[in-house]
Amino acid sequence: MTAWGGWASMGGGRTKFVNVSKLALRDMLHETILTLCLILAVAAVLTPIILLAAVKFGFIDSLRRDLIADPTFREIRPSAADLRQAAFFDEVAAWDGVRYIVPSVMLTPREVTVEIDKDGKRDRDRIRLMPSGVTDPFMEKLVGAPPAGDSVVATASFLEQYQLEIGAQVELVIERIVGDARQRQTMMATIGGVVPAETQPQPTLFGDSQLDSDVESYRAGVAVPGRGWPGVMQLPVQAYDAIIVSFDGPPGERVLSDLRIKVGAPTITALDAAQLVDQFGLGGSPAAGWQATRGTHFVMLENRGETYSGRDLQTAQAIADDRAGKAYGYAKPGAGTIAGVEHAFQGVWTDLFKPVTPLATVWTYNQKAAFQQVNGVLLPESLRSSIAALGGAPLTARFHGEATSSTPELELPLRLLGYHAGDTVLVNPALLAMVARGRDIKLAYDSANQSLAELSSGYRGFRMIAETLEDVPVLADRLVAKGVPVQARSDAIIRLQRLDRSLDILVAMVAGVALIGGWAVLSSNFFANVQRKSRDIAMFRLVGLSRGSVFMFPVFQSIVIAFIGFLFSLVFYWAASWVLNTFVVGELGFKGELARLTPEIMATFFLVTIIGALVSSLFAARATTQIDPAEAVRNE
Amino acid sequence: MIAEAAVPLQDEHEVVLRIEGLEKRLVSGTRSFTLSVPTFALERGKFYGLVGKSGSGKSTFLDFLALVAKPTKLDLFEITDPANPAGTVDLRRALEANDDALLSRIRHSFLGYVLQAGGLFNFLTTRQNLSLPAEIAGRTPDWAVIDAFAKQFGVYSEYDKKPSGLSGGQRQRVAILRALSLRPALVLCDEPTAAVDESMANIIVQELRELAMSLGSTIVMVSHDIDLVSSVADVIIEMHPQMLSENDVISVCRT
Repeated sequence: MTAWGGWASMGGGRTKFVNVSKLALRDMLHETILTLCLILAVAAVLTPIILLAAVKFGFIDSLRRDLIADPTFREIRPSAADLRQAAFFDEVAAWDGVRYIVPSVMLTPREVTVEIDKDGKRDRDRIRLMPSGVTDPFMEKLVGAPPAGDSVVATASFLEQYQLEIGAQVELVIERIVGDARQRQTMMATIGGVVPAETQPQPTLFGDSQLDSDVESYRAGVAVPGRGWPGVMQLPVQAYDAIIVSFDGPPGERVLSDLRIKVGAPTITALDAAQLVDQFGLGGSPAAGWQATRGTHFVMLENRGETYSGRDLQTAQAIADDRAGKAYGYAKPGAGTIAGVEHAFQGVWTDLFKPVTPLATVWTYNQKAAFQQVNGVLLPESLRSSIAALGGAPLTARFHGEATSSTPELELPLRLLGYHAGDTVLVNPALLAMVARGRDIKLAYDSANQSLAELSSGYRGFRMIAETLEDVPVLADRLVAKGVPVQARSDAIIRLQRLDRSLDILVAMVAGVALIGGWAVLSSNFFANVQRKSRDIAMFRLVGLSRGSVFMFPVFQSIVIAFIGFLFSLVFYWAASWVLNTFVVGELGFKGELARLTPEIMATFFLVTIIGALVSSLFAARATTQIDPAEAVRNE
Repeated sequence: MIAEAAVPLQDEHEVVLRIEGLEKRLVSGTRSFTLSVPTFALERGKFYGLVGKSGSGKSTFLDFLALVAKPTKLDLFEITDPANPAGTVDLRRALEANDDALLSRIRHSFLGYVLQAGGLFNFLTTRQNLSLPAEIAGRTPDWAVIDAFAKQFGVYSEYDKKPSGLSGGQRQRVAILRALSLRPALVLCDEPTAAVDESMANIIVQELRELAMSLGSTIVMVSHDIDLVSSVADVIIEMHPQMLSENDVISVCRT
């Protein structure tokens, strides 16, 4: 005896599957009304969910596209005017998510006066001037040339307002007030390009970074040699390395505690008179015989390399007043050359020390000292002959800073006050403090004003554009962590992201509830169908359909119903979305499509529908396999 | 006790089905009913009438022959069909193992079934009902033969009607045609004339016999009507129930 192999090969499994599918289809067609009801039930469940998802997607996507299209939403600006140097921008520009960054001299873009001659009429207006460049996302929709040199880019609103075209020339007027006098410089700028209103709605001019720097330098009183704009006399800033306070007795813990005036980790070191002399570098001048003449107790405040300003000195003095103390700025000795010979420059407050030999001058602290008031020097006696050899030529010194300093070399005129018995060049500590300012800021001698001028004080602002909306909050947080408080549209973006997530959850919940309901309807319906058709199914089994084949019966029917139901729901959705996008969208004042379906969402819904229908048919399908073929005989 | 075999084997004739030592015990509450078939064989091309009183186990035996009932005890169950090149098949093991795939294949390829009311599918037309066995078997219906018999049975013009549009006699004829459409070795008929009047019943069973004999199929027909069965059957098989006790009945199958 053998297995029943012969008949098995009579028909292919595929043919049988097709034939079973045909039977299932004929059964559905026989019960047209019932089948249509089920299809409509599927469509009734699906259509609202699809519409809800489409509205959510259309709404969020429109908002997102609006935000993405407008680079101002990706713009990050500092909210505090701390000075930053080029190194900061080089570092930040390399961060992930940074599309563009341009420094600006001022915290926020300022206005310049624009004068336009057109048709014999002269218009005058104030307009924002923003630094920009060819890679600025604001220039993505630029028509014409990017800002460079005297060529600027204008917004469409500006050109429209004055009926100008690309290539037109406008006169920029830059003004500053010095004392009671108003000073101004003008320059002709060419409108090289235009950006649309969607990029920047307000009338604005975009210039390159150099133009921004020149305009703001002039306003700050700094000369702009490249444009022939003169600077104004500035009082040089003094930057002391430490503060020394002298007391006539022990200062007490409270005063010492109060003297920690700088944020950070200031250190306070107690010095005796001999240590004080050494600290000022005077211990190596035994011939001069320096000794402290004021106070008996001294403390030195340092702040890990941070400098102290004149304001800090004032604060320290106010605290020291409680114990009749006196605050002095301390500047580290400088290095430089006089008459080609290298010398150490020692700052000394002559009311704090007294040499054996009386000095020809007295140096006391003055926060508002001009350069000319502090550039007197006492040279070592050993230099007398060399100086005499100069024959009355102006005395200058070339100060050296560190290589990383903003002002590595600085040549300054000095006034010879006399000679002393030591071997260092004695100067007013304020002069060294002014030169020390050059570590952070580029300094130059302004011969016109006979003063020290800060050529570039760095940048107080910048414009950063993130790559994507999602990068904005991340970059904003990173800048804040770096100590740069910023303002960005993070809130709007985070709100959008939250809204997106919330709507996702909402849609998922509604869809979940609806799908569970739909599943229950289909599942119970298919199960009821199996019960109703148990005689037919038993008969199928009796005439030779296997369990697997009858199992496929409700599964196939459910997939067909789900497929047609899905098509119906697309038709219903299309009608509803047309109404929404044609009529409702206008009522809401919404731009773009309120309801929008992407192929991905459609495919997802299709898959969920088919899988859902399949799952809902499994219970019924299992029930078919439990039906005994003998029932066909009993129920006949 | 179980009676001895009542249907002797006829080795000179071709046997299509052979059973030995079949018992089927049905229990309901405290009562039991046992169907006993010590030996049983069906020869090719013969018409068997299965008669007996109500409750004698006719339908139970027919369920077993239709492979939809599992025996309590079974020593041998073989079938042989010239259409099957694989030869004789041991169905005892298939039943024990509940090999649904094999049993289903045998049901649609070896067996034909005619029920009391025909057993037609109401959602299918006559043509679709007739093509169903072939479709289930994954074969193409032999329409030339089916059409010829349909014309002979007078249902050819009813091809596009569904069972609800047919008379009782037409339904039974279509059911007979469907059962024989794949030329099965064995056709099982469970009271096929119960739903028609006596004259129509005679016509139908005669048509059934003619058609089955022309195709070489063996027929087992269950009926209460001994006269009707006697008029067409080559062999009469009787089910004899005996009360073993107040609650236990045994029904033995005999010719």
